[in-house]
Parts: sequence; structure tokens; C-alpha cells
Amino acid sequence: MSEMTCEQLRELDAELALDILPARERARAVAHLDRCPGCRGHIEQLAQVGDGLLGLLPGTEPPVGFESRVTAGLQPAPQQAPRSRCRSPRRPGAGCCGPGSRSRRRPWRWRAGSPAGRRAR
Amino acid sequence: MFGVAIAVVGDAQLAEDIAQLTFERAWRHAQVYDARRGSVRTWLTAIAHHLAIDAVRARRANPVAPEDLDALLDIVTQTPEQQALAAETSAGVRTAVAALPRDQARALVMAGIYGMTAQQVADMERIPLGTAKTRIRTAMHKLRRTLGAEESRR
Repeated sequence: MSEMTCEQLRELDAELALDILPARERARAVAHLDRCPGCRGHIEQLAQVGDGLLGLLPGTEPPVGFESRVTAGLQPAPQQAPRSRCRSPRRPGAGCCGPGSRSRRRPWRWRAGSPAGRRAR
Repeated sequence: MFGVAIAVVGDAQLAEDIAQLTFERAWRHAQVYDARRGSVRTWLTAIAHHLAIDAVRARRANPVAPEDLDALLDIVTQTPEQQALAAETSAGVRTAVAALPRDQARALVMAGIYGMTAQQVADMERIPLGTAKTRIRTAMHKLRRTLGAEESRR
């Protein structure tokens, strides 16, 4: 896997920040970010733009009973987070982590704990 | 957060599953939350967004129907009265998106909200890949300049 230069990374900056790069390019880009604080800061800024875009979506009230169902679904946090699971008790294999889902998304942000980050490593 | 899930997946039941999964994941990984990254709300929204995109990818080849895209574009660029109550930052982003040429705004929404790759944007818009990449990038950089200008004014 060849090294990506800062210039090459900046060409892909928006796609990287929105996490829509194909896996191979994304891996190269993330490898560059790991050793380049300047590009990391640049991508963080663009990622905030992406967050701002999501902020434009209307807040929709969840259906009646949602809160109690969520509360019921939450278990006390275990001492050690399970290594590989992310499963909805209500609908196992609902697609979020099931076969066919791809590991993606900003590993340099939530690397330590997110299952996606762990799978990506 | 629920709003993001339903906008992306377009199905109330699935959106609820995603919202629930978001809370479970946030609960389990609360120690990873980085306060510098923004509000907890932003964090939860981002988690819900990831989960929603993954769910859509597992279910459909085309992330969004053209009519749904148009409807969403109207939503993110219009400023109805209820939006006047929204945070100032949000109003700035909305104005900036509304000021984009329509083709750039479309590419931005496809990539940033529906999680479509540049190739998928190119296919849907019937434009070359390079053009799709440029539209996404140009739009993102325009928004960043707008937001940057706002931050420096605070």
C-alpha cells in the first residue's frame, strides 16, 4: 500500500470527512491521518461540517413508548465491553452489524471503543 | 437523532430500531465520548447516522429514490418558521446549503446525508465520477468557509 501525500489526501478530504470513500482509498487516507496532525485537524473541521448538515434534518418525535422501550433495552455497562457484538435485543440481526454491513466511519474519532473502529483494525 | 434515522431509512419501525441501538451503543461506549467533538446530541446523531446508512446499505441497492431526495433537499434548504428557533449555527448552515448551486446541494445531500459514494452520486446524476467528486468537495468547502466565518465572529 503506497503512501499517500498531503496533497493527495486533500483531494479526497470531503469524501473522507463524510466517510464515503471506498475501503481501499479510505485505508490509505486513514493511514496518512495517523501520522499527519495537520491533515487530521483539516478533516476534523470538515467532519464538523458534515455534522452540521445532519443538524438540518427536522427533529422528529419518536413514537409513543419509545423511551420506555429504550430504557428497558439498556443493560448496566459491563466491566469489559463485549468484543464483537452490537445486537438489538428486539430484532437480532437488524442489519446494523449483520452480514452485509460494512465497517466504516471515522475510526480516528472513536477508535478506542466503537465496534466499527475495532473491526476496522 | 430520530429525525436523522427516519430521513435516511424512511421507515418508522426501522428508525426506532436504529434509535434504540444508538442509545445502547452510546451507553456501552460512553467512555469514548470526546467532549471536544461537540454536544452529546451531535455525538448521538452521528452514531444514529452511521447505523442508518449501514442499515440502508444492507437493504437496498439505491440509497434514495429521486423524489425522496428532492423532498429532503427542500427540507434542508427551506427556512420555515419552526426553524427560526433552531440554533444559530444551524441557521448558518441552512443558508449556506440554500446558497449552493442545486447540483452541488444535491451531491452534498446524497453524500453527506445518504452516505452515497462519489461513484453512486455519479451514477444517479449521470455525470462523470470526477464531476461528482468535485461537486461534493466544492460544496463541503463552501460550507466550511461559512462556518469558519461564523466561528470567528463569535
